[in-house]
Amino acid sequence: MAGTAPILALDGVSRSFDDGRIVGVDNVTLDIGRSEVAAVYGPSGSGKSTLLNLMAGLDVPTRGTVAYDGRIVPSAAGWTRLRGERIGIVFQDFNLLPTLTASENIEVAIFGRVSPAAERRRRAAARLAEVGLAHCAARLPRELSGGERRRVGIARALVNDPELLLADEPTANLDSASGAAVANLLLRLPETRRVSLVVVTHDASLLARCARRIRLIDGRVAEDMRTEGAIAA
Amino acid sequence: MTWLGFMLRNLLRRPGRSLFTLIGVALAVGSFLVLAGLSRGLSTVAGASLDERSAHLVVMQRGLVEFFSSRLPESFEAELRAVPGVARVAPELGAFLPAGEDHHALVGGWRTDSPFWREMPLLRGRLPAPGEGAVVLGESLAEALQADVGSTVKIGFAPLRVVAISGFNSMLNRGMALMMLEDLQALLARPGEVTLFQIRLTRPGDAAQTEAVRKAIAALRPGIAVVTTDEVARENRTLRIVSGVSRAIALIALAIAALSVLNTLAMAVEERVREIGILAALGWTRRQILALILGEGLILAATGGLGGALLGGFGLSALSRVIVPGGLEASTALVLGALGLAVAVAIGAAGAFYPAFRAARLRPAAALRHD
Repeated sequence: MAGTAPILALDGVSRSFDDGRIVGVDNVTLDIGRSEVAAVYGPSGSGKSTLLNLMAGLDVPTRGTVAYDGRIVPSAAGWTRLRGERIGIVFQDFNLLPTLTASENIEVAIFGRVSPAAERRRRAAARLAEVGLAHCAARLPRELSGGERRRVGIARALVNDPELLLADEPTANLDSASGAAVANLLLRLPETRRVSLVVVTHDASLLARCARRIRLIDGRVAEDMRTEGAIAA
Repeated sequence: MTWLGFMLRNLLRRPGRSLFTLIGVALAVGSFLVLAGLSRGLSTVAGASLDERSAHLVVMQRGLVEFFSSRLPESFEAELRAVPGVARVAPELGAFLPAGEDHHALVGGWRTDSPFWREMPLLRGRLPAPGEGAVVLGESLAEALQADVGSTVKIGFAPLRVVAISGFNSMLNRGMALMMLEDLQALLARPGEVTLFQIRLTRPGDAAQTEAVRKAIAALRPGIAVVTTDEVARENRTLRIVSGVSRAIALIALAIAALSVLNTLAMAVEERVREIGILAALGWTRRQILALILGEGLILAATGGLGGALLGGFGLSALSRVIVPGGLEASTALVLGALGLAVAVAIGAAGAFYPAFRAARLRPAAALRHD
């Protein structure tokens, strides 16, 4: 089924914590298609980030299965390989390594997969240029603005040429101009790079520009709505 | 950025902590080298000295607490000469005596008709004449005592004229003073007594003959040891005790160093849980994370080991000069230096493994939530 199957398929996925006393995600079944743009939204504590972690294989479902490209990923090592080669993640808290420059933060994502070091550097420079930060390659995270850090995070998520990009609150903690720039950058990707994009967001303007909106409440899918032509870069 | 660059960047994040760990490893490896070097030096130095004189077997008292307490009658020589396969027998009286104002030296008394006496390599001067009460100084000892041919030096508090400087190669022989046997027997008030007999065989490469001679000599009288030059140190209980204690202290020092590396890296992993989670989220495999932390441990240990090798080399050289003039032999220093580095790498691997294993087993989602 690989190739024609949805890029991601969750079937009856649940994730609970603290011996089942806390439910993060409850019986979620959904597919993410190729080059699809989907936004996951809902109130705080509704399980958005937990769902994203399950989609990225960062966490393991208590029940149900997650299939990537038509195949259930059998192990943590399988998910690790997918994140290294086919999935990109943009974190809510930037999550840049503080002692590394912008370029090195991107290079570190392809350590062990791309060599030599000069090739890693070349790819990092290309991704920085793609997000408009070629001039920031040698800057440490503390020398970058919030918007710049987010864009470095996006460049890092793109350095392995992923087919699925998962972004957790990509416009959070940014001023409106920076937020809009980041949103434009992300929403262009499905077209320019044929990437499937799943965005967890509270940002109404970003949400309005996503073709598919999945509303979570108490860990369950309360609404899954598709809109034609919603994206406007 | 390279792997090495990334590891160094992580270690330099806490330069003070890394430096102190490095110093700890250096001190441990240095101590290990000094103690192992002393132990090894003490074990090999006697054998090397005897080898240089082309002795094949040594006969001395068995079960000695220390080498110089061996007491054998000089008259035993005749019985030894009669053993089939024995080509030459050379009795030697040995003592560790005060030399000059503030040194000690190994003093050997050799008989003038012994082949060793006649074959003694001299850099300058001549062999002592009977009744002269003179001494031949090894080159290193002469240097340490600032004496030369024509000087008078005190050996065992007796003033003796230096008539020659010998040119031996082995460390022990270079730092040795040699006298005629009867002169040393008189100086020590041990007439007719020797410490050991050095034996040359008719067919030194013939293992069967060597074994036969050993058995024949051992049967001559109870309580004697017949050993090859390599085995001399083993017959000395003091050397064995010193070696054992040295090894024990060295192992404790190394264990402390390994714990120090473990502690440093465990703290580093604890501080970097979130970062390790980020790496895992970016697709770093467990093996890569393990390699990163192990690599940091190995860098710390290898750098500390290098410092420790230098420290140990200086320490051992200084210590061996004080104990036996002549210092540390270059080949021994190289072997010990390499050993020090190997030990440091082992320390790094041992100390880093647990934190690295812990880091590699972190679950990405949990690690990313870590503050």
